[in-house]
Amino acid sequence: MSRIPPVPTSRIPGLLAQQRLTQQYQADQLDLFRLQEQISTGLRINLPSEDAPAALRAISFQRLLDRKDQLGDNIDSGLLFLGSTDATLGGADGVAGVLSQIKADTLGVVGTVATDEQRQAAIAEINGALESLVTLANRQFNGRYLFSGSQSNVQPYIFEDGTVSYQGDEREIQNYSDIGVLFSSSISGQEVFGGISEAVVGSVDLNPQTTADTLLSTLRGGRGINPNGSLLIGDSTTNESSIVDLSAATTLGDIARLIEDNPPPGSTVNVTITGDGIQVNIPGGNLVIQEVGTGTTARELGLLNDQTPGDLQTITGEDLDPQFLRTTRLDNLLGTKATARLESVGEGNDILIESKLNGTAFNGVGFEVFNGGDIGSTANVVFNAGTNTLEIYVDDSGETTAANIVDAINADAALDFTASIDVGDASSPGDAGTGEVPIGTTFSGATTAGGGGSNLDLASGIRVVNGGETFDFEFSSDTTVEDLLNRLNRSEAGLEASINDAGDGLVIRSRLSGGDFQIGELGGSTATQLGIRTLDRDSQLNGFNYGVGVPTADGFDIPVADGVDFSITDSNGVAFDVDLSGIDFTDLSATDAITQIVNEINTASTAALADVTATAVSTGNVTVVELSDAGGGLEQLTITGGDGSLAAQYLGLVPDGSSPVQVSTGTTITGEDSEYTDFTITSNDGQTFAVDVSAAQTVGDVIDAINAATGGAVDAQLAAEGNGIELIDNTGIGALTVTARPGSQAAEYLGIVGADETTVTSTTGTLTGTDRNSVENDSVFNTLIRLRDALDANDLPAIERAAAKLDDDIERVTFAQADVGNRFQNLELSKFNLQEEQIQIRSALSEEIDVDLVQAISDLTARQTSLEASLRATANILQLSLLNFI
Amino acid sequence: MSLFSSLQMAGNTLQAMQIGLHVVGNNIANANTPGYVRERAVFAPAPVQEVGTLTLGLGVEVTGIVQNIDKFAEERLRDAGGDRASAELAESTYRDLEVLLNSLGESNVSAQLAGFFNSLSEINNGNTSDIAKINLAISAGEQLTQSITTLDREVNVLRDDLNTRVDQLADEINTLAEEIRQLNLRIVNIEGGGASGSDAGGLRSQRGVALKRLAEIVDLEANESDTGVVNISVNGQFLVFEGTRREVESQQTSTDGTVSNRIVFSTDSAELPATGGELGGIYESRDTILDDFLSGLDEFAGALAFEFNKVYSQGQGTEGFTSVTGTYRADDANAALDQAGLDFTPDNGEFNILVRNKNLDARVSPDTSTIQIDLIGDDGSPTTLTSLAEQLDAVSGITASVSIDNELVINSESPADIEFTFEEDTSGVLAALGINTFFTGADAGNIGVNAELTTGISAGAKFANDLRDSQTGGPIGGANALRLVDLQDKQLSDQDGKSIGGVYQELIDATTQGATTTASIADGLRTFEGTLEAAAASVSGVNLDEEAIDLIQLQRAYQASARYISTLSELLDILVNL
Repeated sequence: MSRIPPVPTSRIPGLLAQQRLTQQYQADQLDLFRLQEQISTGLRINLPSEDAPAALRAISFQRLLDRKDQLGDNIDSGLLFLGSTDATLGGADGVAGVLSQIKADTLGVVGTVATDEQRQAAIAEINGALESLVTLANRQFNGRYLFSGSQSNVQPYIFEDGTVSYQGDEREIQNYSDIGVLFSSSISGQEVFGGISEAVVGSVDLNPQTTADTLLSTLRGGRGINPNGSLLIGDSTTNESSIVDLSAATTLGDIARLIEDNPPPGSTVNVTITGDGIQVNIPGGNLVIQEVGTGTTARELGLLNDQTPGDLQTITGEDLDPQFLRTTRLDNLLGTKATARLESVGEGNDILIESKLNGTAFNGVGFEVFNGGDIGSTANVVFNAGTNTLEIYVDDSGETTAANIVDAINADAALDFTASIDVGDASSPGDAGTGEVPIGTTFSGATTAGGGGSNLDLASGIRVVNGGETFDFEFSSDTTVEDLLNRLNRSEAGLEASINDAGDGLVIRSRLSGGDFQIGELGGSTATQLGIRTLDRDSQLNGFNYGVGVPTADGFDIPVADGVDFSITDSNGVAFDVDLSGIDFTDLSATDAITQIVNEINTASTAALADVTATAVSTGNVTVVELSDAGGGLEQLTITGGDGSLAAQYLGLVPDGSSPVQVSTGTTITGEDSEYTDFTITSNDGQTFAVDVSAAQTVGDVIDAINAATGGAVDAQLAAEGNGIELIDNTGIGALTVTARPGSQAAEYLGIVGADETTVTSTTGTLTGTDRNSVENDSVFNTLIRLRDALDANDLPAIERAAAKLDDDIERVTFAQADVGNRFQNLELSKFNLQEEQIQIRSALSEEIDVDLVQAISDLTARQTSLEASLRATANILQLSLLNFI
Repeated sequence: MSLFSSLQMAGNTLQAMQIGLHVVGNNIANANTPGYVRERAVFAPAPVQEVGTLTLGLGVEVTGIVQNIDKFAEERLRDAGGDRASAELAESTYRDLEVLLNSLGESNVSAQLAGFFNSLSEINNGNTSDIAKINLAISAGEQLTQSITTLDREVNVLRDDLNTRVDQLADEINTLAEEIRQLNLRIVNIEGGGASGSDAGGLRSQRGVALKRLAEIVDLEANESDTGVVNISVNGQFLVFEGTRREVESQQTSTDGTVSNRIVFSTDSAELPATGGELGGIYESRDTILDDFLSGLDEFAGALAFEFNKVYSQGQGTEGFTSVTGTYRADDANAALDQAGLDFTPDNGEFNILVRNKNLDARVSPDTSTIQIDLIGDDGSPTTLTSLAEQLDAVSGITASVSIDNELVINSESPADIEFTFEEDTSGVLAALGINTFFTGADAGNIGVNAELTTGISAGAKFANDLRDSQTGGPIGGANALRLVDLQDKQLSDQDGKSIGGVYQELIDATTQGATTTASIADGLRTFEGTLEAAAASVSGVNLDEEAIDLIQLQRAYQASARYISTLSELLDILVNL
């Protein structure tokens, strides 16, 4: 940067000329030096200020390049991991290969012709495959277990005691492939091999109640309250209002405090946190709560009330529906506690009351203050059940403070309530509770309100069966959700218990492959209340027996011939034929079908002038046909099956056989339901009840069907301990028998009678079935263990089922492999793009700060010439003097 | 009238020409003396003699020797010199800063910052609990903090250099002022209020040089009185007045540990109010350029520490803590935490402390306790450091207290079995107290990496690279490391929407722009000064050719006069020989 000062117009003193020439010479030297440095370093600028815009751009390019270099490293490392995962999954020795081999080898031994040796060979092969698959699943690369999700140093699968348990999680390890773009460099074992069972999703909304500590972010089902909100609170009687800034609030308690601290000028505002929301009260005023500007806070808090006219001292907010967290107290679930605010005139004397338990039973309790005599600074409390009032006795000379009353209430363990001081009523923290509550106060008739729901039965606990072992849990010492979850997770039961995504229920899953998983009760209702019972009234029957369902008798499926189905002869010898082919039995229930058949018989009887009357007789939850003969003739009422028709046999009117005839011994013949019912229950007193569960969809339907059939003699219910359907004989303790009807496997598949049995008898008056609705783990290991066990037992249906599941497993592995391959390709594409980008950035960076050598060298030459000229001129000018000429 | 009087006149002429030649000689001798003002002998006709009705001239006399000087141009030149000196100081300060920042180089703070984030990203390229990779990230953090503290220290050295320069300038001012004072006296003595006002030419040149240098140092005002004395004042304060001067000295003041030397008058410690010149430039460079840079660097270091720690403190390491002491101290343990004098201010919110038995499976949720940081005062009184310690102390398995230095101390009740970690801090209190943090310190001078992570071989296991799954309570490997990487580009509401790197980039931008601007200002002033210098020199400078002409003229006059004497002598000879 050479500067050019102007040449003076008048005289040039010698010293000035010399200085100027020196300056010029130096400027030339400086430029030459600069150019020389540019050429030798290759950089056009050394300090940013030499070309600020270019330098700043260059700096940002340099940083971008630093970032891109790391992104390139990330991609390279991701490609290595995905490549290694792909290699583990694919190929003959990979997961897919091992599974295909097993499938091919076991298909050969499915069927009755396979010998025991062949099966044993297949079993041995499966055992080998199990070992090798566990080894593959536990493969490590670059210090990371490939299949343990985000738990890169946790061995994902542990094979012991005949079961395989998954120790990893379902997450993936992610990293950035570009700024703001994430990719996953791992796939969880769950996605490849499986390992965590389907969730036992809590079907119950545990509906946690709101407290002062409830986080705003958990409200409204987890949508929370928009941050930095504010609301306007006004009193329309004074026309005053104030804006409450809620931006610092994180809990409902904060909101309450901020509103109470910022009332409309001249008014007092009380805020109570009820079990499900906020209640705002303005004593003697008329409350208005509005949004500020276009805010949404008041609406989100359920308090918006901008158009209600009239006298409104209290606004009760809507249900804020909080999610629960690990730290949520268990006693805050499933219901709300009744609360009351005991407001007295003056400061520092308001008391907050809360019931100890949830429920409506604690609502409506009143409070009144009485003279307790000279008792000093103490108080006595007595609950008067007759008036449903808590009587508070205080000192006759006003020595009792609100804090004394609170202490007295809290000290009385028999009371259903606890009390606390309302700190918002005090002008300073030290004054809270120091105020007096005058004798005779009834707190304007305040009563407890807001209690509802039920209390969680923690004492009973749950029974978990997993991997063939039974574990009993009870939670009476647990106070938070986390305690409960930890109790399950820390046990040996192989469980993964967590809060569900919606934050309103629990999810319990099994990590064990190769065993059944059931959650049942332990004498109480804990599992049901938590919604985690694997077998409850809502359980679908089609999910029973690993999805096989519950095969019942086919409902009412009467085989009707085209012609005469049966003939009836009355006691007077009048015979008539009954032809049922005119009835459309499609979609008819047994009862409706029987009604139609009865009508058909009666029509035929009337037409033939016979004295036979048919009626539908109910025996429990099914009906049968009953014929009665009123003719009074000498012959016996007789029914003869028609040629080629089995209708009469089906209805139980004639015995089985080729030419069946039924001759009555009295005047009636009653049909039987054995063809269209599923099982019978015989109670201690000998009554037998036939039960048809063909229409049942759920366990509840089955229980209802049994209860309808037995009419109270035998009660059906879910087992009080564990799972299963339980029958209780109300006719006395003796033999309670359930017998499957031929052709129906319902009793067995419902777990009422044992496997491959047709009857079961209990002598204790209670018959408890087994749980056939187990959850199992959809994993490669589970399939192989099941297949091995089925082969060992030569259980054909189980072998077929396991073989079918093997297909699912292969499909899952293939899918995972495709997923990994796809990611690999995408990542390679990202790498390619990144490399392109890096080249572009480098070229842009070079444009900004690299020297243009051609230009620099030509500049150097030009400058050299200039310097030479300058030197020559200097010499000439300095030599020239008048003195030379005198 | 007589021949003798003519002879007398011619003698006078010879003497006058001799003086003229002497002046020319002096000019020629000083042709290369910087600051020398060309002198000129003033010739005037001698007093006349009346002879009868005639009035006869009596030749020539030298009435004085004057300096050829344009006082206005000289004054402007002095001012321009001060402005230039001031601008050059700012220019060189920025240049020094640029050199220290080394923005275009490979090993600057900005590159270290990128390298640090890159090393965090690297954690997820493998086993997320890999101690080796974590240790690399920790050491990248150490390098980053070292380069920040080094930069801070080096800029402070620059600052100290400027202070030293203030000390030197105080001495120089005194020397120059004394020189001017003495020259004032001598000039008055010599000139005695003489008519030409510049008789003591050499002394005046000397004084001019001293004045010019003094004007370079401070933006002074110099007024020459009728007696030839130059009085010097700096923004209204007299430095030299007639034959007296005021002694100045450098005085050290210290604000918040930052030392600033300023020049004051020794007598009353009143400040020498310099706003320009070298001294003004030093003040400007030190108090504005460097101090702004340092506070910007502090802001960057503070933002880095607090924002990073806020995210970092949400995470958990493979290993928990058995004992931890906060790295930040409160001034008042019993004041609300947002008013306790912490370096960083926490908000209303809460955090979870997770206490776990080391012997249990790491995947299982620890015992979580929520600690409220209530700065609104829901329960009457806001959370203080003491009440926070009480809340923590109530958590089963750990004890907590406030140390004598007002730091939070948390200990495991059974270090062999129980460890603790933290999560979900919405209040920023962990970052503010220095619990489970990565960086320590709050400004560029003291930022560092938490000793918890650097002490011992396995300290890296405490590096909080995981997060807890809020639903299961189990760890999520590398999730916090990923969030920390994400922080690199995150626009931070507390930093006016800038990212951490953006805060630093702003510092570079400001420095580069300042450097560019001051360089062009300095260049402009140099050109301006050069112009004025040329203008002044064109009046005061010695041109040898000019002097040669004067020489010839004077020589010729001398020769003519001698010839005249010779003629008179011949005339006298004629008379004598009559």
